[in-house]
Amino acid sequence: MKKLILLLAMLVPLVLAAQKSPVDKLFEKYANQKGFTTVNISGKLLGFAGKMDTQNPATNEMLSNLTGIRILSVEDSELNKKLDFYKELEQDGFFRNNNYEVLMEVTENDEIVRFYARDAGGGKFSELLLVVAGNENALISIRGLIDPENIGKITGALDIDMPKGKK
Amino acid sequence: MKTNEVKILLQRYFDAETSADEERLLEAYFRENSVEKELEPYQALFRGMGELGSESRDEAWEAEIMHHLLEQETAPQKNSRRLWYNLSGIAASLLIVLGGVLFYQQRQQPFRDSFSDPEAAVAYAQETLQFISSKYNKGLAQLTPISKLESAARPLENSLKTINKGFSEFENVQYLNQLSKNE
Repeated sequence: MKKLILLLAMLVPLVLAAQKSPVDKLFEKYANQKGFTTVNISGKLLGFAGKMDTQNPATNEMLSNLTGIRILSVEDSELNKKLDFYKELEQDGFFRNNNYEVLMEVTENDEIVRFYARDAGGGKFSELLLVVAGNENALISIRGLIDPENIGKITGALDIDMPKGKK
Repeated sequence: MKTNEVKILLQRYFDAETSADEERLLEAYFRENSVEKELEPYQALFRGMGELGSESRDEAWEAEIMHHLLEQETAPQKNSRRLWYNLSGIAASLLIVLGGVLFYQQRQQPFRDSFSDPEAAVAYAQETLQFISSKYNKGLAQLTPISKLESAARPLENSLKTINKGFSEFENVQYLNQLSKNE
């Protein structure tokens, strides 16, 4: 009986550890490798955004609800040609196995951006993953409580691309 | 001694209120054979007690009893020791679980912040969000033609509805025609 309890107690952390975010595993795989650059921002740092005075309330709200941003980009041009995150992830069954839903694919001249999201219920996402392929390869993961309506409301320099405003 | 007195003494004896002298009196009384009939059952008891008192001490027997008594006394200590064992076992497993949880929480934050300055971090985060937003809106923009198609199709749908209505009325006429033919 005591042994059983001990065994269970030792298994619990293992099970918990197994629930580690799959994206983290992905980032760990490439982090600190030659040609790769990772940028990590924790939710703690982003929490300051809520106190900061920015003109855009949508951006502010979104930032304060995030628990982390991770970006993995490929600097090396040689590596960029060889690498295809999307293919690699698809072959691994990464999206299927980890409950990622395809939101959309945006194809431009030399760039394909694929949006994946994990559902948090209530029409919100718990994670948004962008897989950028083409001339440049990058993975962008933002975590937290993400309201899809807010994503489109973020205004900035790239705002001009919004065709909706022209209507 | 009178029977009544003996009875009172006996009563007190069984209530454990007699003094040593009184007990000796009782023993002496029962040692004699002239005992009232109603007191006879007690005679055997007091005689046996007297005999026990005159018996020589059996050292081995006493030692055995003492040993037994000591064992009884130390038994609870053993029990408490077992309890300690169990408790420490539970505490240890709790510690392991706690350690596991802490370990997990540490793993939850597996990366170090790339920025130490929150302002720079926020600026970078905003840039990232802007990039995401622009791509997102581009993706949504590709959906707008579909909504345009839908709105364009609406008048067609409406006119089709009127035509359909006309057709259903026409069916009524056909039905009337059939009726008149049958007549």
